[in-house]
Amino acid sequence: MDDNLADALAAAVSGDESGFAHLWRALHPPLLRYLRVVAGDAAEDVASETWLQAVRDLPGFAGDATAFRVWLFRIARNRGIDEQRRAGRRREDPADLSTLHHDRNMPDAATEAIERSGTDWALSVIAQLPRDQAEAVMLRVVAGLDVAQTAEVLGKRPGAVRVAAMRGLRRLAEHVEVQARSRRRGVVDPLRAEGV
Amino acid sequence: MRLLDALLTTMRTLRPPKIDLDEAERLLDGRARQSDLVRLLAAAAAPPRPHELADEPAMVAAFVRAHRESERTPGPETRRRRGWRRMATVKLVAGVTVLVASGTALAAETGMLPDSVQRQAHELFSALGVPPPHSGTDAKSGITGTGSKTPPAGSPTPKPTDPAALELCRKWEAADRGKALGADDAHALAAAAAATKQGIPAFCAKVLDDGATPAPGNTPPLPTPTQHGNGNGNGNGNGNGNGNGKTNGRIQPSPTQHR
Repeated sequence: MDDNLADALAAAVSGDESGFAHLWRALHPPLLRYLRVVAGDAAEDVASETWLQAVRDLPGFAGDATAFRVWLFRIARNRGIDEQRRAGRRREDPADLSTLHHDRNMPDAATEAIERSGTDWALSVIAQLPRDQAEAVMLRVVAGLDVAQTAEVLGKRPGAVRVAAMRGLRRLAEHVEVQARSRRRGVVDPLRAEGV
Repeated sequence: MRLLDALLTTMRTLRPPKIDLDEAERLLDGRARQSDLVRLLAAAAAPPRPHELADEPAMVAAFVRAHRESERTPGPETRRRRGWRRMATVKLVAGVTVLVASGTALAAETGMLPDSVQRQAHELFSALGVPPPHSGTDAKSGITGTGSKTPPAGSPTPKPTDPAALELCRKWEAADRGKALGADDAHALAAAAAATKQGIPAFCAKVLDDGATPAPGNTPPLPTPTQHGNGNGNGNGNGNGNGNGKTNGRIQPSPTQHR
């Protein structure tokens, strides 16, 4: 997938603006979605800061397109976490999160889930996972990174990434079923905090 | 998308067995059999929506801007080389400044500058003894060469005398004692300092000292006599004002430009 980006990256590094535009179009949407999960409402701002830093540092960038992808998501992650710290919010506690999420989406979360695009719905569900799980899932599925690259972004060992992703998927599987069932019944059960 | 399409036809699945590491890999790679979970993951990774691409013009503009700047700011190697070049430039500029300033100083002090320049010098530094222009200076236009190097008349000239000098000196201090001072400011300052027959460091020391309480007099004293005695020696020798040591200090009337 990054073969297509190699030319764009080379062009962007040498200052070509259409090369950069290509790069941006390919990587910004997944970056933004990843940041939705990591930084919540600050995603847009953090994504902009991330790109501005990337733009500044791009002339000296020496790696290939995959390395750029990893580099970009690392910047985004660090900035997103800083932002979260600044905002004083905590995402570690899934119970809190789901409460927050449902408060925000009340009165009728089920209706809204149907009205919103499938993508927004999916992201909001993934965002309710504990952060290490949510990040592992997002980086693998949305950012298009493999285990080793995801581990690099997260600063973890590949084994830990595998396990975090697996746990996240388990929890999502349960959650999706809950959603499906509740859609039938017209009720939204809160995400179950235990499990895994 | 192939997965998603297929999934749309499969509405519901039975609860799958608990996901293990292998199954997780299949799911993450998009190879898993259809389920609500696969559908959710496909939705999360769906193609970009328009609002997700809305920032493109702004970010491309930022890229173009940054690239232009990076071309102006060289990499580490050229930066080092350019450091030497800048050193040399500073020395050259300082040398020229001294030459020009000494001439300008004498000229300003004695009212020999071209009218516009003399007026500017007067407005800026009348409190320091720079007289207003005469009506006719035709005979003394030999100084024009140096005069042309003073700041362009287009730049706004602060009216009160001391604040202007004070501001220049503050800039000079802030600019690492002149090392990063703009050419116009540097020249104006050199001329001002020279008008009091002081080096810039001594001149600014005095101005900054007086800074809090601006001197009242804005009518110039008669040009030269009172100024002659003071200070050709002071403030000249310390040498680091322009960051190059040798050339910046000594302000003295050059023999060719006496009255």
